[in-house]
Amino acid sequence: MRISTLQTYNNGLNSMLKAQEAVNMTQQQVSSGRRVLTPADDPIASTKILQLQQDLAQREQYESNMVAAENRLNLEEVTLSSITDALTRVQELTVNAGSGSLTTEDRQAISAEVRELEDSLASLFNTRDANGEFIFAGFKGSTQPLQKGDNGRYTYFGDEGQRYLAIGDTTRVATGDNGKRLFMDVDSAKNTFTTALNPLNEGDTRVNAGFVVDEEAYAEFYPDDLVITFNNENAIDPPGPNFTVRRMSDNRVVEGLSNQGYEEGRELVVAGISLSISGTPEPGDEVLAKSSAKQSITDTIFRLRQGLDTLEDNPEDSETLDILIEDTLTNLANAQTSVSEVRSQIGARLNIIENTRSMSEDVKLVSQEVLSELSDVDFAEAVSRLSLQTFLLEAAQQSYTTISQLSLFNQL
Amino acid sequence: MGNILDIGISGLQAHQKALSVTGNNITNAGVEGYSRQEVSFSENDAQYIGGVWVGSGVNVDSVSRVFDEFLTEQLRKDTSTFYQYSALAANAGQIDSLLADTGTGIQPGLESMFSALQAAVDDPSSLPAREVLISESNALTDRFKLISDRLFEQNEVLNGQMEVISSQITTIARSLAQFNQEIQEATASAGGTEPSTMLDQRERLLQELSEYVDVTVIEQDNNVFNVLIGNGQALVVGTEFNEVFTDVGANDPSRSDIYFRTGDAIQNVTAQIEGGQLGGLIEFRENVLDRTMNELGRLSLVIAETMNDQHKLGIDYDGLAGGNYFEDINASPKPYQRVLGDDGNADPDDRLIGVYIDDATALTSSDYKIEFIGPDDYTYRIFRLDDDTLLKTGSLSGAFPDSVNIDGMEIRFEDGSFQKGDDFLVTPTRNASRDLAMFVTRAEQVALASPIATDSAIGNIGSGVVDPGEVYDVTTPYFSEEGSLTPPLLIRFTSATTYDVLDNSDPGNPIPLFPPLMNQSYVPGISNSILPESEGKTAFTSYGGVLPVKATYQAPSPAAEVESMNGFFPERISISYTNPDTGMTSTQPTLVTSANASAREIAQQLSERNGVEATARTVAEISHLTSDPDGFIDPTFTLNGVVLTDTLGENQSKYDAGYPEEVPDPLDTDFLAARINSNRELQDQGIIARSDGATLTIIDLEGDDLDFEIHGDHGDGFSLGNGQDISVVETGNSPNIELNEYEGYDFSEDGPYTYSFEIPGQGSFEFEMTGDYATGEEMIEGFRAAIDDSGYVHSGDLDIGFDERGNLHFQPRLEVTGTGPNGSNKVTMGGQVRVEMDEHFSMTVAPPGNNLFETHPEGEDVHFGFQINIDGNPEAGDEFTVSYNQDGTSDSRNGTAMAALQTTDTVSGTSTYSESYARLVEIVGAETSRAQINRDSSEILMQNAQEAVNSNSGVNMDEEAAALIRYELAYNASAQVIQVARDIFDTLISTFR
Repeated sequence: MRISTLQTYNNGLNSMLKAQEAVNMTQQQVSSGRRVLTPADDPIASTKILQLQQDLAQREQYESNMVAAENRLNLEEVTLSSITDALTRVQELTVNAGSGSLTTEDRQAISAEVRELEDSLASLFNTRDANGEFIFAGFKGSTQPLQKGDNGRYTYFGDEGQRYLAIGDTTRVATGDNGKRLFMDVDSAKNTFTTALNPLNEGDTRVNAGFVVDEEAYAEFYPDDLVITFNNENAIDPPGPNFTVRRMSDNRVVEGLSNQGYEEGRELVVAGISLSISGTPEPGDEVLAKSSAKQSITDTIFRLRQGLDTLEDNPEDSETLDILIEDTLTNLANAQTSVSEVRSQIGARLNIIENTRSMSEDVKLVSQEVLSELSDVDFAEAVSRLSLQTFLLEAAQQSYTTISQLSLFNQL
Repeated sequence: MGNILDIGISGLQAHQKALSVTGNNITNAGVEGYSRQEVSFSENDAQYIGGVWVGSGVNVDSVSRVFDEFLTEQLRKDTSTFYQYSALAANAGQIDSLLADTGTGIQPGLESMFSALQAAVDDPSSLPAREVLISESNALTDRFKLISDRLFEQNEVLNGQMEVISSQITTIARSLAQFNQEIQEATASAGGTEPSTMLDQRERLLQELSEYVDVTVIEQDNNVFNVLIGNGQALVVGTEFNEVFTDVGANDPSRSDIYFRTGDAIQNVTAQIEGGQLGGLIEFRENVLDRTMNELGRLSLVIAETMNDQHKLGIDYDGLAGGNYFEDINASPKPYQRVLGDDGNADPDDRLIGVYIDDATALTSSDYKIEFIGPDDYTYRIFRLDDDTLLKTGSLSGAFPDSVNIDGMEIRFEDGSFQKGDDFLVTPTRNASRDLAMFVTRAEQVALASPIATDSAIGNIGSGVVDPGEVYDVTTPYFSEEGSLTPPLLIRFTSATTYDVLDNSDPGNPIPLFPPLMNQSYVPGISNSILPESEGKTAFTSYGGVLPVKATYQAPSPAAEVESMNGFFPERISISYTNPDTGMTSTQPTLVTSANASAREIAQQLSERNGVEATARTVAEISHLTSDPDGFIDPTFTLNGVVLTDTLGENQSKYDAGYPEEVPDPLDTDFLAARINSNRELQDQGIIARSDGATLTIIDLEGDDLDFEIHGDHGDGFSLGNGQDISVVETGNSPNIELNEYEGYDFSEDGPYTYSFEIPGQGSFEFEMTGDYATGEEMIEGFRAAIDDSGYVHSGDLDIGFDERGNLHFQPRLEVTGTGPNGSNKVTMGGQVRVEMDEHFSMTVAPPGNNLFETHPEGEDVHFGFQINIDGNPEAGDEFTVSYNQDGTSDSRNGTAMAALQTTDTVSGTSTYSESYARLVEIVGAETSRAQINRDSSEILMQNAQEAVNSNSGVNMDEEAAALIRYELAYNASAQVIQVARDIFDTLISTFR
């Protein structure tokens, strides 16, 4: 074939440019360590790479969640272990207090130690985590869950929320327990009740914790609840604050307790329970006494302390004390059970995290391998390719100089 | 001899020419597009001299360029293909690396945002974690914006490139036309000999043209070329040329189109342009740029919508409703920016179309076209441009706005004089990634918590466990008040298998919801959804039992049995369905209820219709039981034919064990309740009774009529009500005391004391109090008279009372008394029907003035918008509450749900955010890769063609050197011939000297 001189030069130049491009590409791969420099190099692999990267990022997120969950569960476990110790000490003191040889003064001394323990339990229940959140307050992490009222009794202000963290695509693990379940919902030796105020109250109405004074009467009434409603002041003569007590279930007025005159702090005994209302109620205000088969740990201790402080050394009080000690021991045992149940659950959760972690690490390893296979350059292959391409470039350059010197004009 | 001289001279002349041609070839060897020239010699005509033909030398027959038009044409084709792919690959490569770059790509932004979200979910009460989330979200929107800006920039650059190329094409066309003219003239003046140089120059122009666009050359006479581009647009015809230029796009002003001017006619040829850089740019715009913009826009819409939807379901750090997370995707003016009117639409330019994204997850990445095709001004068709599918042929109703729903968007014709011939381009996704922006700005605003919290009562006996609940719609009335659940709910189990859902606004007195949700069934041991799944459903109830004017007298036996009636009128009920797409309403056959039909019968009839579910229950209240002090017959009280006041022997089988045996005198409500509840026949009928000691409430759960009969003295009796309590609302000044039944009040001062109350079926009534009442009793009488005067029609007496806070309420009541020894009094209480209708169903009732339903009952939304589940075995009396999640700063349920969106198949319901993005990267990568491969292969083809052309027409120096030697020799030889002729002449002269 006839070759024009221009063609000779162009061809030589083109082959050098091509060889340079190839060398450059391989050099970029080698220096970046990446096989796929832009998606156009391998569209399918690059999609997989994106997906794998996303998967790995997700997995790293799960791993940090696992660490966070472990930290929280460990804190909870430590706290609960202290609570168990404190409860054990209260149990010991209760047994001591039951000894017949003690005097009122001895019991009051025990009561003083119980009070210390009560406060330290309360502060354990109010434990905060590193972020300053109360760990037993449910969703209300910024609300102190146990707060002491005017009457010296602790009330729970948290809720029933339980927080979870995702530690896998389908695995979630609870990272805490709410105080309600831990120390409010503790089975009680005997049916009891809790008092509450209707949040719609307009007056400054207050109510104490109350206690069951006549178990038989209360057993008959249980599980109904009581509603105490303040009426118009004119309902009695002379006019003044007065209230009516109704059963919650059927709104029936409790016999003889319609339009009762109100006296601040007076003990009201109804259906075997005793409570006292104070403050300045407005008509329409309501006080609720809700029956319950449960009693909070703090209430159990509070009631024990009250008994130890007030019961005298006489046969009647001794009997009450015996019942109180017996009930308290049962309640404390229930509290221990409640706490240890949660502790075993924490152990189970920690196990789940451990298992998930080892599984996740395996998967992660596989993903990383696949990712590396797809995106990383094979250095042995790339380097040998580079030397081949360099050789080709050099060859092209040499042949170019050689050929360009060939011309008949040189011979003229 | 002269002949020899001539011959020598001809040789000299010919080879001199040949040498200059060779020299010209050598000097032009480096000129691009130069075709080497060849000299062809021919011998001069022989002369007949002395009986023989003697040759007379040589002459240059022609100097012609070595040129193969087929090879050149091939080269042009291959050049135009190469430049097309080259332009495509260069532009697509930019997007390719833009999308995949870790610094600019969306993927790393998504990962960062979600990992910040996870961190915030881990620690919802931490404001710094929320700050990080907001800044990472901003970074994601910035990435979208950055890519979008780059794409818009690239579009601008494209417009510029197209403009430059178009003007270049026009310039070349002008030169070509000029060359045609010159070549034509030169050829004519040279007697048909072609002017090689001009031809070469024209050829070079054509070659350059083919870099810009595909060229077809048609050769005419006299070496004139006609040049066509695209698919047959005549760029150059002989000595005339046409102009190619760019101008704003017909469909989309931001995208230039290519126009072709032929004389006065202007034609849009964008779609016809093929090949060359111009073709490559247009292909890039259609296949890569627009597609990337749309896919990216769709992704940003899906992210914004799904994140917003979830965010709205939550509450923020301050306990307020979440609202949008990203800016509303349908905020004005975005809907209008998604539609572009064609610039050919007739004046005036007043059409207003909004495109609202209903469901981003159903969007496609296509653009759409709306065409008003005629023959009238209201028929239109909508095409999806990706696959050229006709989606809808519709017509405007004439009233604005007029909507049509397609592919996840609502196209709303809002105003304007739409006309036949109007075209609109709909680009729902194109600008979206540019518009993606954060709405939430403060850390507190991130709604990580769920608005509801559940609680189980501390007194629960059973093992029922309530879950935290799930919110899926916060547009229901339950969430209408910021910061509270209206009303909070109380779930009270009435047995191990039934529960009521009550309004817990007043925890001291939970009341039924409206419409009520009572006696729901519960399956113990498994997880039960507590609230009905009733999205879109509405419910209303009938007025309820009618109090008769008086009781019906039943003469003593053997007189015929007289029926007492519940007083319901016959009614004609129509149930209609309105198709939401077409607006067409279809009505089911009218249902006629018979007079005095029981609520249960009416509910059954209604339930047989499509889209309706009706239930019934009957409530009657018995109070003020009186006993005649001087009576001599014991009153007999009968319910549904069952005598409740009988005294039975030991082996009775009428009542369950433990029934009260002693009939008290006077009768009391506790006794009657106990007897009703222990009567087996009434139990079978589903009748239960409750007494609070003063009032007996009897409920038939099936909605049958309740028939009461009393036989006794004139003074024996009771008061009957239908259980509805009507509240009277203050509309004027408030009295300065809380009204009560114990003291009077002077309404004549500090007034006006106006009041209003509402009666189902009768409407609302108003009255004013002006009297001065000394005692509570007088005041109540005053209220009674005022209510009577207000126009309210009722039978029986009004039982008026005040609650503890001084609010007035009343019930109409009928006194039913004994008739003495002869006969008895009967009264029947009808029930209440609760109707639940599916979405788009409605009910009308005729005739007006009925006493069962309103004429056009307006359903209340019964959609809760949230669901809770209770598991385990609750027992009667167990209670669970659902309330607002007050102070739930450690709750991150909604945040968890938002984080779960990362792995949810949201885009088209088939891929996650990052999968969708990865697919876009793959598409662009594949497109770029294809362009690169095509570019490389067409480059080889182009080089081959170039080689073929060069091989034929290019200058070879060695060849030219050889020719130089050859022609020089020939020239020298010719000179020798002249020398010889001179010698001969000299010899001859000297001979004669």
